[in-house]
Amino acid sequence: MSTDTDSESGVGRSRSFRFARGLDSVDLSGGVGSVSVGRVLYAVLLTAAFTYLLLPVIFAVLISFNPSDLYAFPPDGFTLQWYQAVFERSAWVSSFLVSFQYSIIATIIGVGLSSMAAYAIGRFDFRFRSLLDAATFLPLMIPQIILGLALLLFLQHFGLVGNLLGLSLALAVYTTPYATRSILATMHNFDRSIEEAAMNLGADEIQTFLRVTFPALLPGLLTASIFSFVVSYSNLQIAVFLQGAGMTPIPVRIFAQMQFGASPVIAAVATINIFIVLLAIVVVERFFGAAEALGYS
Amino acid sequence: MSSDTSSRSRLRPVVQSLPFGHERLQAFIERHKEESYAGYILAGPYLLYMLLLFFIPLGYIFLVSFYRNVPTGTMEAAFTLENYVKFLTSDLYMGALYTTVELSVVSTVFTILVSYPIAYFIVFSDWRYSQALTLLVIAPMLVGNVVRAFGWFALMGSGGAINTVLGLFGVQYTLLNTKPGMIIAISSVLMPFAVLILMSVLYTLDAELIEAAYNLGGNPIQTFVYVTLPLSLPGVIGATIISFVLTMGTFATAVFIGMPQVPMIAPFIYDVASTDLNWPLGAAMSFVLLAVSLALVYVYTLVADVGTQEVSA
Amino acid sequence: MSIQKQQPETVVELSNLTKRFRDVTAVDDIDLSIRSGEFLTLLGPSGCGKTTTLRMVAGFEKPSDGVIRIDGEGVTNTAPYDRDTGMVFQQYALFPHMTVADNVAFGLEMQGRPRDEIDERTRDALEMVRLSGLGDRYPSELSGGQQQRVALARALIIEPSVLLLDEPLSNLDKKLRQEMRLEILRLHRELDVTMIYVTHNQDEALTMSDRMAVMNDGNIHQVGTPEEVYRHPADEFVADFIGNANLLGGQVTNVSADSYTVDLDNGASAQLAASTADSATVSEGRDVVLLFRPERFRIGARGETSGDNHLDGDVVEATFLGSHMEYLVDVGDEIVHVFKQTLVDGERFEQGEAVTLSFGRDAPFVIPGGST
Ligand SMILES: Nc1ncnc2c1ncn2[C@@H]1O[C@H](COP(=O)(O)OP(=O)(O)OP(=O)(O)O)[C@@H](O)[C@H]1O
Ligand SMILES: [Mg+2]
Repeated sequence: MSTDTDSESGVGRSRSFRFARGLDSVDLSGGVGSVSVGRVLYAVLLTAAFTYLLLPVIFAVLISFNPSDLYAFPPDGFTLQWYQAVFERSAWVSSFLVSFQYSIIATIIGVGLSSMAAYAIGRFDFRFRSLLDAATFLPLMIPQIILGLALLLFLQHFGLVGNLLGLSLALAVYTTPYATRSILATMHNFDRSIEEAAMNLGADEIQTFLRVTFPALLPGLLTASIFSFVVSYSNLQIAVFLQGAGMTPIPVRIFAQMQFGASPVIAAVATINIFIVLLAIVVVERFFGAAEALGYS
Repeated sequence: MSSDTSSRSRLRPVVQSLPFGHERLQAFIERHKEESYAGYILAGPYLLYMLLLFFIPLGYIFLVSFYRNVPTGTMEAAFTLENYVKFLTSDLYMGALYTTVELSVVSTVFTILVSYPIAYFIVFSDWRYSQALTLLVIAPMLVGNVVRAFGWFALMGSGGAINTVLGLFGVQYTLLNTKPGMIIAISSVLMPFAVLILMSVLYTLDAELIEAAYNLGGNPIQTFVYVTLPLSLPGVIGATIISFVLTMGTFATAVFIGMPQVPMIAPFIYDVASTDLNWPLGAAMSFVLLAVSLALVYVYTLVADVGTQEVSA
Repeated sequence: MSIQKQQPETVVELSNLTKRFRDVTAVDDIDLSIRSGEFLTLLGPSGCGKTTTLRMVAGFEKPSDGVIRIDGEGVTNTAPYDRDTGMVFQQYALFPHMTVADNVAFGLEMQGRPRDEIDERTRDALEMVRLSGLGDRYPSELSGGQQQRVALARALIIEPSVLLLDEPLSNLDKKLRQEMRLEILRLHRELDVTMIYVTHNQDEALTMSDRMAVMNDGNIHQVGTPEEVYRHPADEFVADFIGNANLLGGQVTNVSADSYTVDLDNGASAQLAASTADSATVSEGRDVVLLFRPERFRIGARGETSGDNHLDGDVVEATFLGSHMEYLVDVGDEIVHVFKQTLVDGERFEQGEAVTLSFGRDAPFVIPGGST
């Protein structure tokens, strides 16, 4: 598999960076040595853009290790006291556990449903196929707060607010766009003739699926699972409506805590979250290349 | 060549011990796979789920927006426009709605401007780590809004890092609770989405076409303006729409960075629904927000359509 | 291997086979039988329905009409996995997550063979395609030619009644293509396996096949040995598609027992042997088309004739092709291709030079005209 995706990404890499090269030739102001002004300008622009993108995340990590509880910069020391504070408060710990639990259930529901839908979209020809394809984006296409309120009002009729099941069912809706897109991206790169080859060699539909199709789609399924987990784990706008006593998701607890004032403890919680998410990404990247799995290559 | 009938029966695969019965399932598949409804059978559970937990709840709050609020945290089925009237006549809410639209438009434009060079670089660069940059783009998105809003909060306060750095130049500018601060924070939330959408369109561009234009014209800026940019316009339009819709619902950032000086509408919806337990009003506010978002997106697509036609003409 | 059977039995039989996709008729009512041990090529231009025909034989497409028999048994609606066919795909279609050995063993595993037998036959099959020792590699670690060998071994190991190959060489470079051509022919000879080979490359078809079927637009225009098809194309399409045929239109006049005259559209006339056409074609006043292979003309300076018939023309283009020259000669209303061996002291003609083309009474092949 790995060499396969390598060759995929090779396509992206082999396209050369025309615009920057272009700036090279057009810049009449010349450059220093072999480095042209155009290239430097572009590099500065990119660095600034990435710094901007990552700054809040990096800063949250920085202050979580900073002894001063004012958000001093540069840091004036190193401490783990805020992490200790997190793990001493059972409320934080139980929130981590709650978020883990509903995110896992939501992932199972979301990926289960999405993979069947994605398979139908990728493989079958039916009348409203392209409509369905476009509709898988819908949960992303309306302001999240509306979806959260709608689910609260609807699910409370069935006693599904303030418990794990309710949170899981609601967040599963939110995972579906991510899950369907990841799986469809994998299916898109999938060579159907290997299924025909299997059938030609005597494998029936079920055997073909188990021995050939499923292993080939596995990277997409795992990517879908990890993304689904992570987006439901870090979701606030839906979780905030479906929380309940003893059922406070992590993002909701951070949100609530902020109402009483920010503290480096929150930074420590945020950092733990960042670590969990990074771990998930590294797992995906390690095995399949997250970018390829999402179809961005 | 053994072509006797026994070879045919040997071709019949050995049945694996599956709980639901290989033969029965296989027979089911064979019976239905060619039918026009096969896709619906497979997508059925998903469709049912979306119907139950997406479309019906949305329909339901539309209905609730016409209900009458009962102060004890319940509501009464009715058909009244009083919730809409209350919203539309409230200076506070309408002001927040106006601010929301204003910030959404500005943040979206800013986001696209910053995201385009990133997407372009990742797609067309031959730098060996450009793929890893994709991960850097995805990572903040996955970390979630709350963590990033918190990070900006810590950075933007009057004694925060931004002012510390600005202090070196003898300047002070507290971004917290200001519109520029909101735009900065919101755009960083939108950027990953915008970059990913732009990338997916840039990847479909014919690199040879760009190369050809570049070789013919010689001037890369002309190539970009007359070839690359027009071709990637669908991505720009798509990224704009998603970014705009996402901003209209800005919540965590709006609470941490904006409130109370720069109010956006989502925190009010949350307060009305969760603190005041006035669900019909919350529902009505949601629907106005949705309607305004979709209306603006619609106007934008009309404008974009005309624009695209002019470019291609 | 070869005790030639008196009456070669039919392995695959297609009758009235038709495939329609919505508004396209990809295969239009074809009949074809493939004999045991035969190497049959389906040749035709892109989009003529070759792949569709092959996929119907393999069971991947359901015919809209008609019957397919393999080994005398009707399999028209049988699932692919219940048919005794092996297939080699254009893009190899190896299972990327399995090793070479697992790929090759797949078919036997599906048949539920004992492990020992599978291992042994897999080893033999890899040896047969000269890939011994590469069994533990993954397909992505092999070259294109090696991958194609794995695909061949994988399809052959189940000993199918017929091996179907869809342009198996089109993804290989020229040198490798030549090598794999010989390899496939060797396997065909050694294993005596019946093969249907799809290609749009006429060289491949002419050099490899026992028989070839020339297709166009969903129809089979001619079935025959390469020589038959080359020398006696059934119609203008076949003539035009195989080799560089020259077509000259005219009208029959003056029919006698063993010869007849054709007045060509460009004003010249030709005296031809009766054997050049069906007797039905040769009737006075009838429009006909004369098909010439480029090598059937002799080219000389204007007025220099060396045959029963001649045409005057001007050289439009002269191309040196190593062993021979190719001339394009304008003979009035047609440009004809002419080949001439390049001899050390042989004469050369330049562009614009006036020449005369000569040809014998039996040089062209004459078919009914009026369609062009
Ligand atoms: N699944 C399909 N749906 C609709 N039309 C199809 C389908 N498959 C093939 N066709 C059409 O049927 C005709 C024959 O296609 P086919 O693939 O058999 O051609 P071919 O002879 O193999 O061509 P090539 O040499 O290009 O591979 C073409 O016009 C093609 O467009
Ligand atoms: Mg084909």
